[in-house]
Amino acid sequence: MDDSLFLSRLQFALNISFHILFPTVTLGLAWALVFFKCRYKRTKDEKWMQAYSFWVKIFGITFALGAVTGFTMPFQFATNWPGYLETVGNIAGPILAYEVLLAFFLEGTFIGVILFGRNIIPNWLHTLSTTLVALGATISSFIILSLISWMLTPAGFEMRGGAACAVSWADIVINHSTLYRFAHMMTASAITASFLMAGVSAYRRLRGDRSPAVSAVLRTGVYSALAFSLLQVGVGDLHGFNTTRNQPQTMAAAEAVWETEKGAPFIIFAIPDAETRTNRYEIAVPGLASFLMTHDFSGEVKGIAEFPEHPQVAPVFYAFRVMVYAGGLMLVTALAAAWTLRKKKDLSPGWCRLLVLFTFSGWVATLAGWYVTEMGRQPWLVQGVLKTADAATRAGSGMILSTFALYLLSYIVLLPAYIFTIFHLARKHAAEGSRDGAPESASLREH
Amino acid sequence: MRQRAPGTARPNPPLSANIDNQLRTTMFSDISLPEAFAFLTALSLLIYMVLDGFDLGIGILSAFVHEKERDAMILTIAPFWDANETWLILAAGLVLVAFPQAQGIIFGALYLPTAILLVGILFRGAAFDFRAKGSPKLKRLWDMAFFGGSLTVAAAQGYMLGLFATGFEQSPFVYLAAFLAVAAYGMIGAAWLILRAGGSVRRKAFRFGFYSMAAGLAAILIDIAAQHGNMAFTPTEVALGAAGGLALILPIALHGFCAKRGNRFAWVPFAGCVVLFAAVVSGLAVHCYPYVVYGRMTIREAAADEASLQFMFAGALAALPLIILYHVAAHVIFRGGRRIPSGE
Repeated sequence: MDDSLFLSRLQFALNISFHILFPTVTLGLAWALVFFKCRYKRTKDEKWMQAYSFWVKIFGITFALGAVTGFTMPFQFATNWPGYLETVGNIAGPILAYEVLLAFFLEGTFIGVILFGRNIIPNWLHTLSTTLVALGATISSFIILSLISWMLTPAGFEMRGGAACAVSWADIVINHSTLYRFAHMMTASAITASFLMAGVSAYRRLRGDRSPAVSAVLRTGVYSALAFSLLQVGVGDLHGFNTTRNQPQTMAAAEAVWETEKGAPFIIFAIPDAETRTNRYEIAVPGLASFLMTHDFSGEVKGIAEFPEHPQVAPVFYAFRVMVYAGGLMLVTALAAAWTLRKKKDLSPGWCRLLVLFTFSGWVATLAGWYVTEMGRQPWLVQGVLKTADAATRAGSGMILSTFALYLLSYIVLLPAYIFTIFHLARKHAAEGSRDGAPESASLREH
Repeated sequence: MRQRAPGTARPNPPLSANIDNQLRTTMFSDISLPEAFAFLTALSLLIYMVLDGFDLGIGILSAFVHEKERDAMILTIAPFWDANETWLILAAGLVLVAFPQAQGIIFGALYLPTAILLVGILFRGAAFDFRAKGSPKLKRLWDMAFFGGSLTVAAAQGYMLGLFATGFEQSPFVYLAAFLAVAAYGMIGAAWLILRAGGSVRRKAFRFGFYSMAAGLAAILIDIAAQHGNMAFTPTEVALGAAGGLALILPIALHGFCAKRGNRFAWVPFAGCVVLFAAVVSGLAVHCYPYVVYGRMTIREAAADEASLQFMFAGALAALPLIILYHVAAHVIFRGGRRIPSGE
């Protein structure tokens, strides 16, 4: 692999990894805001409005970062991957255009209304605006996931003069993996937002904030983390099953299956060795990988040996382990926290500290999952149509290295700033919540 | 990777039997889609320059006021900047998706300025929230990032447009363009403040508007004077510069006019800026037509497949009225600037 290609890939990985952190939060959090609004309308309990007014601020920061980091993505296609749109621009172009037209303007306009319009417009209109933002975020993720899915399982097109041309837009948008991937990502986002809500609320509790709004959000976060983690077991399984059928080489790499075998074991730990095509120090559960991939303990799993073009095994394998283990750990934590909450009606400081630790746990699992997808499709950018190497720019490696450094430095500043700001807001509100009996009432008026 | 030789006609794609064909024959049979998309791109660029222009301008001007005034200034744009910025994605995005054969050439030539633009956008957007919601100790720092980011974005855009207009030939003109973009955004930012701010901010806005215009005009005069020394500029560039200069005089006069007459005419400088920006974008469009990569690749050569353009055009026709509706709704809700409550 030459330097320019490697650096372009590294830069893309950096930019997309940093970007995805924020939409992952906002996609779930937007619907949580709608939920708070609905609870308020039903119960008329001020605590839900207080919950809303705190979380809409977190949403605002996260949304802004998601928007500005998202700018980098389309520009990068053109600067670093010109071959991508030259070859599949007829397909990807309209999909990207629809994302901007249908989703970005909807979100971008109404985010201003929900952040600054609370005391200006009637409550129903404000609730409607919140719903429109949530809808915009969902439409946006559906559209972009349908493009990503098309790149992995292309359908509804034909090649004409070296470029892909659309034959059926329905088949392109709802291709073989769109709905599975969309469900998987929506659920992942719901889990990420749930742990964020639980973690930040737990942090406010630890800072002495006993306001009902904080307890309500803590409860909401823990229970929804549990519900969506359980759902994800099923959704993730369906997604994996679908991937096995459509991209067997990716799943072979994810499970480090070198030779085709029946009753393949699920490897708990191993170090895949690409030279000898074996796994070292393997600890495995017999038959489990076959069950996960084919829903049959003795089902046949195709090995890496069957695919002349396959991704590197080790990184995909490790990323898959991280995703599964992080997801499992989150499920267990949510289950235990929900159980305690149900039995003791409250969480001890120890439990709160644990939840604070899990505040951004959704990011770990989501990023690892995307690494499985993105590394798992190599060497193809668009499966069977365009190789990653053929799409890359011929810009000098020095140039790419300099922009890579520029982005890296920016993110090193901005990520801690984001996390710091969230906890700073939590501290500030906690101070208000523990000081006077009517927490957040001051900021509510001001807002 | 496919490279079509410039000048060759695009092969007529065989018709596939589906709904696309019906669209083709019934709806847009007499519109040249590549040109329609070139028009849409230019229109999005204009809307972007006006809308994000004023909030970038406020970012640039924010360095020259006191903290209280800065908060007030930023509050006037707070509900709008996200939507405003989205027009850049649409304008640049249309180049990407409607002209896939040109995007690699254009942004390949703009590799470094694009990255600098993006980092500017990143810091500016982040600073917007961090300055208000983060620790007060760091506010000064984020204020600087907000100013620096806005300045960087404006200059990078001018530089990129300058390069685009000259077919990616390095010349002093591109630095003039970078400077003019900063001045123009500063000017429309001031015009926005005249329209929406009150008190000391509004008084200062008249001065800022005047300085921005004077700086822009001076730069253009220097440009024209430099012409006689060496012929580094093409006649088209001189004409563009002169047209810009003439157009600049209009808002100057209007600023003076409305300063004397109070609130009733507060919209006049902003309208003047819109006219100026429209003149600049039209000039650029006329200058570049029929090329999308100046002197090298025409709009038609670079365009995407007909069926894809139709699919996008239908979407754009359906979505643009909605998008305009969103903007109108937001501006109606937040009419009369002073009603925007603090978000923090």
